[in-house]
Amino acid sequence: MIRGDKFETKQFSTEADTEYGVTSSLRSGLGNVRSNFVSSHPLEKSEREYDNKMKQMNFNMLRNSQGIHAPLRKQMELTAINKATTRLPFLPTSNLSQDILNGNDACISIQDNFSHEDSEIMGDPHLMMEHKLGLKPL
Amino acid sequence: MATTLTCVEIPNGGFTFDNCTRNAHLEKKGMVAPKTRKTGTTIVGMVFEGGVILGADTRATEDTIVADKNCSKIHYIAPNIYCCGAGTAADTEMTTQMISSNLQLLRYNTGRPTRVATANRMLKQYLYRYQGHVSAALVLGGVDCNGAHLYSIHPHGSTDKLPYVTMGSGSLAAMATFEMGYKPNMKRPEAMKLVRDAVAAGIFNDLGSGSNVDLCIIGNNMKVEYLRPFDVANEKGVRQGNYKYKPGTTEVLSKVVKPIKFDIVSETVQEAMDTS
Repeated sequence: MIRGDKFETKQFSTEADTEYGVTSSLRSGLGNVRSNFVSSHPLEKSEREYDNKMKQMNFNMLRNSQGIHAPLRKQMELTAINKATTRLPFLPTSNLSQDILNGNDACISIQDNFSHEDSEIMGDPHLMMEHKLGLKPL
Repeated sequence: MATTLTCVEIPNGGFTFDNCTRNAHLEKKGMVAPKTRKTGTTIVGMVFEGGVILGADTRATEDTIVADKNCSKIHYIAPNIYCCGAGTAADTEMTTQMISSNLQLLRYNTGRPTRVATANRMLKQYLYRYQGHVSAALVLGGVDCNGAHLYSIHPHGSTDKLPYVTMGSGSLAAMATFEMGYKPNMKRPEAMKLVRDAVAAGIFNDLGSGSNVDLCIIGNNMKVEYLRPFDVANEKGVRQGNYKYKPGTTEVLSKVVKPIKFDIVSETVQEAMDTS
């Protein structure tokens, strides 16, 4: 039983697991189950879901004020752009079109202060492709 | 040469909490976390007949030590809007800079001068998002097309729109001064004196505030006067005596110069470091 931690629970990973629900220690290292349920900071969960939640909220407001067509058109544009401009996951992208559609081209946020733009590390290509294609790992 | 990281998705950027469990674990083992530099402060703002005046002291503390005797707590937000910041110095600095950049981008987009209410809303939404963990208490003042406005913004994201506000550890002393002397539509010299008195009350009665009084007057014509320092309330004392001896006090009786002989044993050339 998880003892009185006041922080919200962390969403536990699903797709990275093998088919039988056992986490692969080759990929994610030797972990402990407790860390899947207890987050280290009260803002961790909120920050992870923030972008999605804001998007949902904006789409809802758009639907309420302008009708179902408004969010539908925006999502159609986003889907089309994603299909046209998505690169392989480990390659660097500027995400310019997605930024323009999301309205982030005219904003500076904390994500630009602490950004991974000029980072000198990259994700392992094989791992990332397998994740993208939904292949079960070792 | 890029190093690869075992991750399945590129992280987004922004705050990460990877080290929080590690820090909690270390603190349990007895590590003492480094202290943040706070601006235990007196910041005040007041609306007068000709616009709005913001006042602040200039001391930054790290727990019980004065880290900066003359720091600047009145930050630029827009040509017609300025903001005083209390709380963690880094938080106030970075938050105001980020909002200032956002407002400049908005000005480019819309072509119109910024309103104080816009700056207020951006700040409160940002601070609410972080639930008070970004410790920035702000006094935001400016003049726009609708007149002079003054807001106080608390670290959790609540705001108040008032004719006179104080924030920081010296806010009680400053507010007492304001409550005694404030009248609506004061004239400029009177108003400047009242703001100076309020900040001075904080400086002399609160340990977290000190040094000088800075003033920023934003007039109804959107002209800004940044008076730094407006009043040096705490002068550093002048040393009364000089204990240095004049050169020539000690008489030189004789002088002998001997060269030190040395042999070069070996010579190496340090290669340039490889930083690729």
